[in-house]
Amino acid sequence: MDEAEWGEVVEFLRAKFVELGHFEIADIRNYEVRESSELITPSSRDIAFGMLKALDRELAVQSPELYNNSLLRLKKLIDTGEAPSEVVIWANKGERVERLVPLDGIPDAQRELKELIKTLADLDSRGEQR
Amino acid sequence: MSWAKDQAKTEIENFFKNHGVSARRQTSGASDGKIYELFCLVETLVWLKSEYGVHIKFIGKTMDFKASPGNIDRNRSYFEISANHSTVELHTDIEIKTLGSTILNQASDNSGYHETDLVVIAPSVKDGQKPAHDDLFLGVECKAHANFQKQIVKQVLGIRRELSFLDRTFVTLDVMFKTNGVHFINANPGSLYWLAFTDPKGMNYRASPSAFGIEFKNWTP
Repeated sequence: MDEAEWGEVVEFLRAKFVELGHFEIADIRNYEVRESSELITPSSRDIAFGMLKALDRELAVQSPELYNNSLLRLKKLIDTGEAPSEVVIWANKGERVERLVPLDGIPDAQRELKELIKTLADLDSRGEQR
Repeated sequence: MSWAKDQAKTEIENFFKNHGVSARRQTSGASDGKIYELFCLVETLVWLKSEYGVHIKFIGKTMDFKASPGNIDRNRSYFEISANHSTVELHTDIEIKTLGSTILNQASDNSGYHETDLVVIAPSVKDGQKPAHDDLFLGVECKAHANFQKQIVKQVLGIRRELSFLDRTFVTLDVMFKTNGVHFINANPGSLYWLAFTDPKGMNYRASPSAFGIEFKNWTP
């Protein structure tokens, strides 16, 4: 795909991210890079992959895997006292607010997002060959 | 010519159609970023063990975070961290009294306290109180943002300003836990102050803040 076609893909992705409330991921300025003292906007291809990798990071920090691994690692680090098996978010006045529960659908979304990134890279190289 | 582009759009459309719920920005407020905070807590404890060989005692039943930052509250879980006959405490989601309000020695307006996600403090801080800037040994800001933004750097620079003067002193945690090999830091009091984040681009902003004793940690799950 050429720059103009990737530009269309970026606009398509931006619309999706805005629709889902990911204004930070949708903001092109977040992909600028500094070269010497100047801020440079990367190619549309790099921006498109940058957006998808940002979503991958977003999913990773909400994943059940991170939650469970962190509690497991915490258990190994504690020398004295019973290790916690759940995380609770409290209000300052003392009422229990909520038990922290990661979303079930995150692992599937993570897996398919990685597949999407790979597919787009394949399409890009195949598009050049056609 | 546009076959690949059209196929790319179809693949993207299918992904968001199948995973729109999971991919939607989570804005529940109370739990936003807390799994990353838990991860950073573990990374911090790992560092404390490897750097100082500390003994870690967990006080509590559940791992507690606060919906919004506040006072030291020992009815909620925290950690006692001991080495070299000294003990400090690690608490989550705490407001710290600023250096500026201490200098002015007057009742504070909204600028008198700044929140920090993870704090290692002196155990002498009373329950229901907020630690003063010189009660802090280590503060960690945990930023789970998908994209690192410059405003985060401006924020931590401001908080560092409110924790310490620019001066070359000993790292206070080293003084507490080490018998030799104490490090210097450009901060007085010599508290450690870390910014943890997931986007590797954040490392491009680390040079200038390091002059003020701010360490950047690209902690990715």
